[in-house]
Amino acid sequence: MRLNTLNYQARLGLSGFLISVILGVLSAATLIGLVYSKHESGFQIPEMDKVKAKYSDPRLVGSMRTSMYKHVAEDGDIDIIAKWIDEGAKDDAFFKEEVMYIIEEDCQKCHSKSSEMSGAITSMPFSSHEDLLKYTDKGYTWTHMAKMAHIHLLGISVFLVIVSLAMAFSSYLGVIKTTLISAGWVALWLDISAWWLSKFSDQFAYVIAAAGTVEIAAVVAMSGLCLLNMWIKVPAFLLEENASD
Amino acid sequence: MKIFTKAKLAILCPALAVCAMQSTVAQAANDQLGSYKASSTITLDGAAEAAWDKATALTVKLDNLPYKPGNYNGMQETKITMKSLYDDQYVYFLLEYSDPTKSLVRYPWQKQADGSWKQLKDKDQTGHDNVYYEDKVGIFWQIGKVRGFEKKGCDSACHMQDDDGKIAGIDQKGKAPGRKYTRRAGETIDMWHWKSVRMNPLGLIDDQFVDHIKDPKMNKNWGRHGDAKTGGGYVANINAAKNGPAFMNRTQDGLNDYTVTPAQKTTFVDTFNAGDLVPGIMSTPFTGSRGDIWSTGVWNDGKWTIELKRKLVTTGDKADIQDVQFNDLKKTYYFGVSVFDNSQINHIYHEGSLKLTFK
Repeated sequence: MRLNTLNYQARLGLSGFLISVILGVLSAATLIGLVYSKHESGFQIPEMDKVKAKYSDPRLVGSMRTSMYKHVAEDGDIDIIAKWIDEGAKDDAFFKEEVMYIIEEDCQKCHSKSSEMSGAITSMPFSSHEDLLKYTDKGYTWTHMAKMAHIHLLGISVFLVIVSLAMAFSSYLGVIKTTLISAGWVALWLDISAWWLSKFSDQFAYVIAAAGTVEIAAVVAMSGLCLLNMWIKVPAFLLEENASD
Repeated sequence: MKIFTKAKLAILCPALAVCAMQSTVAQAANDQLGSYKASSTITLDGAAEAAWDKATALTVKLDNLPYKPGNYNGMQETKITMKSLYDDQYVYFLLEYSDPTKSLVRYPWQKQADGSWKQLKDKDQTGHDNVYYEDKVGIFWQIGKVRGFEKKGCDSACHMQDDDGKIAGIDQKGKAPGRKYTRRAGETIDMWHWKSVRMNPLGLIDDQFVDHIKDPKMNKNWGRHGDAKTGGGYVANINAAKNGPAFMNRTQDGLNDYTVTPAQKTTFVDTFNAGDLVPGIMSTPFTGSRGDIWSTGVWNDGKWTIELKRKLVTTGDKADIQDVQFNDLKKTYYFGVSVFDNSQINHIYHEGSLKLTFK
């Protein structure tokens, strides 16, 4: 069985799925581009400093440098929080006078049990030293990491296996199919592994960026190639010899 | 040929979707308002005359609220479109936003069936009204340098109750969900407060400012102050016995139905029927720095259109710390805007700051 021999309705249904996958993956790429870009410039290629901040910095600092950056009044505020954590995140005068001032100004309006502001995160209050201490470990906490890792691994696996199977039943050269299918899976494992390893060295942020790029490229390429294979005549040099049907 | 068409569709659909997505991203970064040299006179009449066609509009979505009043039935979001022009003396703004309800019934006196008078009020859990109030617009301008304003806009001066109900260590439970003040002495924000009932009939904006005061003993409104004035303002329309209005308007003409204005003011004479309303407030034009922004707002078919003008450079008392000065037309001026839908303090705002540049 080849993709291009499927009946019209089967090709229609599979095309809908593949187009959705492409859109979903590009949406994820857009989100990544926005979260890891300079906020005044809109969508850009992600900056490595921001990727490192997310995965290697303490979560509080990483969030202030990335997703919460727009709420931080001045960049110097992030340095003050980072300094406090580097020096042991103590409940001392520096914490009360400097750290809590910034938290009150930039975070607490939403990070409060009683906040009613639009976008309030009442489940994550920043009201005390004890509250903040939960977010001072480097990178994601082990619990959060395990949660994010299993959601990503299982979620991505579901559509990746279908895209891989579609690619396997396409008419392309075996080397193309093997390369793209392998790239998708290996990149997924490298990406998630690097999340964990970034807690120990921020150099693994480069692995996250590279593996993520390969993962997106492989999925989009496989989905796109399968769509072409189903609907138009692909140049013969890309096809297996017995793929004349 | 048929297959080719299907293939084109299959490729075109995701391409269009991606383009739409990128367009949305591009719009998200749209925060620049240009002010263009006016080529003719601008008349403040609440109608966008042809002169405004020269200006490029900035549209901003307002969809954040600071708290949840129990009796608030107003808008949760709206879009405000702004244009700006300037000439040798003045800067002009045109504001347009959708608001399905024209809300002017601010604390009116209502005649009861037994002949007595009752002032209508309906306060929320923080002691502020969202039922018998007025539509308003607030514009914040950074004066000099205010910590965080260029990035966070109005939010830089916004302080909400913590989990103990305190702001800056002072109990605010049942008093105010939030207060406005800046971080340091010397940091001030110009606050243009357009009020549809109290000042719009007089053709003015209530020009105020925000400074660093966070002690209600020094100022009951914390960092919020009215600009220096030589006269004018608004006072409650209440008789000596505090059981009814002291004055009324000679005629009820629609616009002036909810504040007593100098041109209409006359001693209250009760010839009213049960259910009739008399204004609960009296307004006279501000003079001095507090009254140096002129405006006219008109509500029509679910939309407020507000035109306003102010001198590029003001010279009133303490103008340097109370007014933004547009004295360098090459500079970027940071501002934020919010809309109050029949609400005393609850307002719909945007995140971040907006930027005005002169073209």
